[in-house]
Amino acid sequence: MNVLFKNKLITLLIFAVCCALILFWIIASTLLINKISFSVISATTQNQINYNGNTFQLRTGQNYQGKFIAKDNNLGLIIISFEAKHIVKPSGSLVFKFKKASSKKWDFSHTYNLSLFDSQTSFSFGVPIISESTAKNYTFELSLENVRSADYLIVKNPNIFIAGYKYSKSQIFGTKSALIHFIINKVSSSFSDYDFVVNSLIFLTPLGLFLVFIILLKKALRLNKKLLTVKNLKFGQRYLKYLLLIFIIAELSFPQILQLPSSYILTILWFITFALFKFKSTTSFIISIALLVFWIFIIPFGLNNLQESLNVLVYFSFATGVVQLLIEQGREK
Amino acid sequence: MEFKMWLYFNNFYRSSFVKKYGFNLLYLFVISIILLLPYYLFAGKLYLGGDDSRLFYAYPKEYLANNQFFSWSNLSSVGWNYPNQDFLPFVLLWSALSLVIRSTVIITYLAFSLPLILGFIYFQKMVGELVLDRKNDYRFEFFLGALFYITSPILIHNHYLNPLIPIWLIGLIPAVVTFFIRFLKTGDYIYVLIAIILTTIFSFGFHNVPWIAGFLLPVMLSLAVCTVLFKLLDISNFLLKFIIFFGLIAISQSFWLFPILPTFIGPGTSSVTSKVVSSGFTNDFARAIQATARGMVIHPLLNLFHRQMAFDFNWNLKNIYLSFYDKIFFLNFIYIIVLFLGVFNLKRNTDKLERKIFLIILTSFTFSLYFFTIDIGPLFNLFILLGNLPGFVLFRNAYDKFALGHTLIYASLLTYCLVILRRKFKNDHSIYSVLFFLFFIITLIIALPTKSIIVSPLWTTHNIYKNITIPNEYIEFMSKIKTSVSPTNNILSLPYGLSLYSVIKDTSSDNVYVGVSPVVIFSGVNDISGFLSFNYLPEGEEMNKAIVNKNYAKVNAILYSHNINYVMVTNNVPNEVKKSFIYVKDVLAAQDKNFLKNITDKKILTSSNRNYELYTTKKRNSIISSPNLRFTRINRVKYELLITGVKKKQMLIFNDSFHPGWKLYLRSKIDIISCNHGVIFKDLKTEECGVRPSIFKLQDLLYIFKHPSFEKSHSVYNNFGNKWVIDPEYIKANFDKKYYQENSDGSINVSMDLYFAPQEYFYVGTIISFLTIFGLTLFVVVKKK
Repeated sequence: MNVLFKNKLITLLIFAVCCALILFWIIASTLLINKISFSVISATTQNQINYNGNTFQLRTGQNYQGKFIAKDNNLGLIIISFEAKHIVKPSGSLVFKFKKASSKKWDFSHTYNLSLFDSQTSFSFGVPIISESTAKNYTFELSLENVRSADYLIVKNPNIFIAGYKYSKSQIFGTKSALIHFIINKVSSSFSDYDFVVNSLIFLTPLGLFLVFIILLKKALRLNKKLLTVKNLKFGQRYLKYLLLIFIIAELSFPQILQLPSSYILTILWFITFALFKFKSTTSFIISIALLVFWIFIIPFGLNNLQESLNVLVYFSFATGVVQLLIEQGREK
Repeated sequence: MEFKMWLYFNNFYRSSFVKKYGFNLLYLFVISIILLLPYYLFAGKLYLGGDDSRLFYAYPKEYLANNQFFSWSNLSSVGWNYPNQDFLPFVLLWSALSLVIRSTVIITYLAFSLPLILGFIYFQKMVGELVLDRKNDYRFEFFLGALFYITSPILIHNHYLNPLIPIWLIGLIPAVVTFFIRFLKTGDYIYVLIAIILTTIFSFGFHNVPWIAGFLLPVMLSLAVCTVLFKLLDISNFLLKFIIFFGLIAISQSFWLFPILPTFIGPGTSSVTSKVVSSGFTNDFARAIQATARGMVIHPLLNLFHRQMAFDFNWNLKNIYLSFYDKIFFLNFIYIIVLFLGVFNLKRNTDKLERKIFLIILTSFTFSLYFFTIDIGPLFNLFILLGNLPGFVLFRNAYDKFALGHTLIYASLLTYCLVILRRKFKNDHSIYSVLFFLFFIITLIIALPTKSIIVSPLWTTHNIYKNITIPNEYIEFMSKIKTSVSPTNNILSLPYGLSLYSVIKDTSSDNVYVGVSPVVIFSGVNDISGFLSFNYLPEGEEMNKAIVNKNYAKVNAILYSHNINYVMVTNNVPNEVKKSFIYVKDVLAAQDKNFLKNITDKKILTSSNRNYELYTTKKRNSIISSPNLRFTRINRVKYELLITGVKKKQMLIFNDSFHPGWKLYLRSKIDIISCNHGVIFKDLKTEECGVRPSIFKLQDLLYIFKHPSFEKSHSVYNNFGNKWVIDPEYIKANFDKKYYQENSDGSINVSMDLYFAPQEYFYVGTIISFLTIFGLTLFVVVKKK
């Protein structure tokens, strides 16, 4: 019944590719989406100072304060989310102060130019690494200085922020168990962040496309019995393997998969696949609308990178559909 | 009770009255709403300002008298070759209308509504021509498409927030397309004639070119791609009719094309196109695109303007997104559903030719979506590369130039999709009715923030709005200037700003007119109101620096060399406006009492409430000067000169921007210009004999056959003006004695006309336009008989 899956080699290959693509999703997103260094394990942290509302407007004369208990050693970063707000004429500065909760004086402070925060969605504030930080209480504070009254920053989710724990190379690679412990911590801490998970979906695209490809392949084989001839099957097996290989290499080589030049590769592969299996324009349009539906759902989350990728995919799949439709109509002539 | 109401409603809905008159009533209802819309938006005040001021809607006669006829333009700027005779038919029509409609408010509101009404009517006619199978009545689909088109938030934000001249294209483009398709179908030249009349009145020539191109570019690319769908015979037939239709339209537009085209090839920096194709403008393209191409395809697909841009540039639209669009955007998915359902059901519900037409629209849409968005992966760099094509720099703010074309194409596509779905669900009306109803309701819902979009505060202010009543005090003050100051002078308007804008405060609120300074329109005397008044000449920068550095000697030198002999001060500019984008902070701060004292001589006029004052400058210049010169201004492009006692070579200075088109023509008859109330410039030995205003004399046509004199000596004076050397020996050697009068001491008297020769292109173009329209009318009448 299902020629594709009757062949054990192909089934195995499909399974292996799926596993590889899942692995790719985990590794690529952990390595590439995290804006912080690989050696930092981030942990979503609850602010012990309670703020009403989902946002906090930080203006001159106001403070945003955070208080928390460190979950690990090597505390070295505080990452705060901001709403992407365009500052028309950024002038003045933002002061970040940090101390142990019990201290009276600030242990550390640093002044940042306000222009650094123009349209920023998150910002990493570094502090001197504290090797023995586990279970200790810390406090930090943000305030604006010499900023025009019209300008302000919006702290997103003021009750939650991310604390980063920076491991040294010797700590990570010191022993096998330490390495495994670090990797598990790294992956689990990354995937416990909601924004990270949504952003990482882009790296699931290859798997999604691959599965769509397999489904369409099945459909093509079912619809076009001529393809079931031994000659054609061998042709498909031989060349599709290479096509897929190229595709995967392109994905791996160009992590920003939808940027130049891999978008060209994707388009070319797309056209080859469609030409090979004589898929109709409807397929491209369905992909386009499916991506649009996905897009509509993620708009409220403001995931700009993902949206930019979808922007390209939606347009290219739509344009591909139009070209196919023209070809189909041209054939009628 | 509810059931009874439903029954009543159902009976009413199915009644013969509704079936017979329902659509027409609905149609009239929408038009009435559009007509009433400005009354709701602007609460009885004028909505003026911006780059084209829109004063020609409210004051067409004044505009006609002071700004319309000539190829040499001074609209709050130093003079330049900026022919804008393209306005002439419209302003003539509007002036005639203003004789009937006396209220400036009503006539301005009509100008606001009319493009939407024309768009609403002609869009339906256009798609009516595109849908070939007319077994069914698709009036409601066309109606819905037209509603989508005119209420599109993209169109409202882009064309109605600052309703510049291209708003007329909302009606004009669908109208011209309609008549072109009719001509294509029937070959009847009456459609060409109607299109010519419409384009003559509403095209506004050069002003609209970028937006017309923004529609034509995706359509032409699509037509080129879609040639694969047609037979060679069909293509050649199409091309022939295309050339005839648009060729005749182009010829009929000679009255503005002829004056403007030479500015593309003409030398000199004082022409409009020299600015457009300058390297500065071209370099600006990539930078402008990089700064503004921030959108994604999702919002145009949802019939919304690019969200990211609203946030990046802190437009008022940002607040509307936050308060409204962000909450209802998912409703707009109905458009995407209709679009894709239409595409999916295309093949089974259209005949072969309809499919081809649909594909042309679909392909146009694909192109327009790209051009309107640009930032689509690698296609972004492609657009930057296209900037190297001559003229493509017109699209440097593509989000603006392609907005209208995109909306029109999208509306046409969706209307076609609705027709397809109507056919698809012909046996299942309920599904289609739900879809239709949702489309209708959602289209109305997203139009709700129209007032918030249009009636928004002046950019970079929070409480200053732009709907005002021009105060009588201002109008009266302008009348005083008209009677007290000769139009040969320039006025410096203070506060001196960033652009060429001036501020007129409303009578009863802090609302303001902020737009191109209208001093010349109301008084006939040109003013210099800001940095851009110098047309990107170095003086713009120098003036700013001199003001800031309190270098009054330099300021006075610039005023003198540019024939700026008066200073007008506006005292009631609201503080919030002073802090807005129209002024440079430190330049404004430096325009204090000390500044005024150092650049003015004495106050000569004060308005009734002391909000406006006019001063003379420290040192006065004359527009034309030469020893023993007496001159009269006839109009903006013509001066009559008489120089007496020319013994040896002497300079003739003309203190308006240098342009090689300014010519001196010796007259064969020596006219002694009488000078009863002349102004004498003793140090310049020159006498100005006032003005003898005349827009046109038949003999002006003869300049085209005359040879100008002293051409070789025509050069730039003082890095700005024009200079000729008048050589008596040359005159004696090369001209007949009737061209000069010899005095007893051997000196000569000569009469000359100083004339801006490119004005002749307008006359030639007008003759060609007239002949085309007349000839075609005759052809149509004869053919009908």
